[in-house]
Amino acid sequence: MFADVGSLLLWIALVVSLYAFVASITGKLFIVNELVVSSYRGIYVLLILCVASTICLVGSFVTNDFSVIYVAAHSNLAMPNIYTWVAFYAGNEGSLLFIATVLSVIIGIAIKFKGNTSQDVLPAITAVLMFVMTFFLAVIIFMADPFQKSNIPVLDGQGINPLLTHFGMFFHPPALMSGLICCSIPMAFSLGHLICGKSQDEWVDQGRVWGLIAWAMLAIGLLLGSWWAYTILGWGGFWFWDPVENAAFMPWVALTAFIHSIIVQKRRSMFRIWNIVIINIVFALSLYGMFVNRGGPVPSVHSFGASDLGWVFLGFLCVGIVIPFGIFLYRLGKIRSERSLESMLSREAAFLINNLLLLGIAFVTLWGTVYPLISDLLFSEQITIARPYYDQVNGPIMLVLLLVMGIGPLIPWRNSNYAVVLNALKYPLIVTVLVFGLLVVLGIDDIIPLISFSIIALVTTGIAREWYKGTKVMSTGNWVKAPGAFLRLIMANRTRYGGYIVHVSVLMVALGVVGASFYDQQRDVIMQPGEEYKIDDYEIIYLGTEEAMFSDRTEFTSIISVQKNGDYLTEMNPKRSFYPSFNMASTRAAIRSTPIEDFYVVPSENMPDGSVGFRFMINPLIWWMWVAGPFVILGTLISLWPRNTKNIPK
Amino acid sequence: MYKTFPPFFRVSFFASAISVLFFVFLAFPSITLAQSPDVEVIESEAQKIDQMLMCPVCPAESIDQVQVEVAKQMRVKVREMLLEGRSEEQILSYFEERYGSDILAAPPVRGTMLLAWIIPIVVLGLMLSVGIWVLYNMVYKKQNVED
Repeated sequence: MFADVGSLLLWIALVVSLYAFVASITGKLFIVNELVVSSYRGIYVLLILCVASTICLVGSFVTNDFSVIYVAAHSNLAMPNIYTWVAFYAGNEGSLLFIATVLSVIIGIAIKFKGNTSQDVLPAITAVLMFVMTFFLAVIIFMADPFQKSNIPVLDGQGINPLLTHFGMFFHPPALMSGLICCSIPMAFSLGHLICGKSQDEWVDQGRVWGLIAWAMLAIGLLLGSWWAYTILGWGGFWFWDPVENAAFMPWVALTAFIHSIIVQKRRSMFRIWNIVIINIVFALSLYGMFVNRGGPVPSVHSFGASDLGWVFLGFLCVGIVIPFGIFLYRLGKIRSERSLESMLSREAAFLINNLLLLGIAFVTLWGTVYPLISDLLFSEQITIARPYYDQVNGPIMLVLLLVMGIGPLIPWRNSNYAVVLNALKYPLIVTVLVFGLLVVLGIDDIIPLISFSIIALVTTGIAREWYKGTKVMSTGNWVKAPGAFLRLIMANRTRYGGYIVHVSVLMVALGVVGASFYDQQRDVIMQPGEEYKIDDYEIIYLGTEEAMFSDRTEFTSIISVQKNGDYLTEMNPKRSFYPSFNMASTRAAIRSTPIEDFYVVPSENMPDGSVGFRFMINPLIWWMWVAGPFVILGTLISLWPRNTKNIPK
Repeated sequence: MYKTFPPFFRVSFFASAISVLFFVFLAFPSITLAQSPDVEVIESEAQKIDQMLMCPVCPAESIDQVQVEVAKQMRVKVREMLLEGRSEEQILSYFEERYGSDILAAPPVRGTMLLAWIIPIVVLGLMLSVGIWVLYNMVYKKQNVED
């Protein structure tokens, strides 16, 4: 029942979206206001249709309608209803429906809350967005129908992929998919204005807001994905530069460039051409991201979503590059920045350097992803580009970027001189030198971590100094009022102080990455029950393994007693489950997390005689990476929060 | 233009110089330590090499990450060769000869595979120099107009 309704709703949605596309164009061209208005209404109807058909798919899952192929493939009777949310996007068909629904919702919001966008341009923006919408709906209906039925009756489904039954999976895929599709909104605002010949600053506010939203969603999606990999994949790492990780990472990096350079245009009416170029790159990379995830040509651990849809997406990717850039080139003559750069030593220049470094990282990542294909085609040479390559090439760029993140915000807008910048850097530099010395005394003698930690100290002190100075001014020297003054400071310049909070979260991630990459300790040991093992300060006693049978899996829970420096610390219970129907094992690491270091145990193998192959790891500072997540959200929200002009002090 | 550095800057330079000396001093004993073949040292060296070798039968994963038989054998082989005193390079080329270049997680720096390494550096260099050149021109032109 649900499936038939859902299928019908999708068809209507396709017709409506095509109509809105055509109506907005013809209405604009022949100046028929009714047509234009009807296209806006179409957008809201579309929203309802897409949400309703999503509900229909959820309904098919909840009622265990295994006549629907997609439901049978991704759930079974044993699956708790809560996992319906995950099963929904476990495969191509559902995740495409998810993307289409998110797109319809954000288009509705973007058109409803269009801000200062002029009525002249709105039809063009609508047309662009409806073009994208129609593509997704057409792909769902003709190539990946989630409501397709099988003729053979099925009693029970195959069940959900065991790797997906993790808390992180409730948010990681939806955040990434939403983030990727959200990139079309700022692009549509930019392109819509270009089409209408309005290529100045009209699109900047909406572009920035939607760029920030997409950025935050991708950031959270990436962090959650890392956390999922860390706790469930069973090898103790959190980032592997896998092609699909890269596919989400590249648009995020390019968006990071965009949300910085758009501020220059917002404040100074500069970088007009540059911002259009970047947002087009972001859009192309987001399409590429969805293309790789739908079965692109590169091998990946995310291959459960693979299919021949990849080639359709490749075609759309070409369209998504050619049209925006074509219109951009056609209008290029009209775009001129209002102002020119006044000094090489200015915030504007620092933003441009930041942009170039970020796009550099995006390029390296893209090159690493596609070069194996090029090498195979041109030289018939099979090569692999994986983590060591990216670590070596992107690592140094990221360090320089971190440094720019510390210095850039201290340079004033427009024009500056070295005295001002050096004065702003005085305390940060002193603290950096002290930290450097302290680390050396503590015995850290690898040059890269030393440099990294020093840069982190520099940036942290730089931000702390800004906060301190601002609070001092706000509280007029009365430190009792400081907490309130600090809040007022943040609220007075949300873009900037929200940005600082995000910078702090970037520092936390950097701390975790450097700590865990350079100072992790790892041991693979096979242990008999009762056996002891010592790694660093930790003494481990393996007590035994309990076996529990479930309808879908056999779960092995190992019991480990951990002592640190002779004192009892904790008991840990890492798990390993075997799923016969998938012929797949899923592990769940036991982690004792502290801000200083994680003690991490994962069983990699259960032998018949009761002995277990364990991987023990000590990952310093990785805790900070996961703590960074809430700060990303907080900082972005503050940056996005609409200005209330009443409260702003002079 | 600010000609002489302010005093605090000189202090920081002095302090950095001292820190660097410190670092050289402290690094010295650990360098000598690294030369003696120690089980701990060999294990961490082996883990580094594990991460540089792809698993031949699983997509996009290194032998450090997976529990399939061939990866386990490769890990054992890596440790054996390290105990025999072979270098990281020798071990990597041993596996490359047997499985082909795509067993390496990063392409070796030779032949056409150089392109994988050089292109990013060239592109980044070009981007930065063009960017800075454009900025420089903007400032320079503006100053000319004002003059």
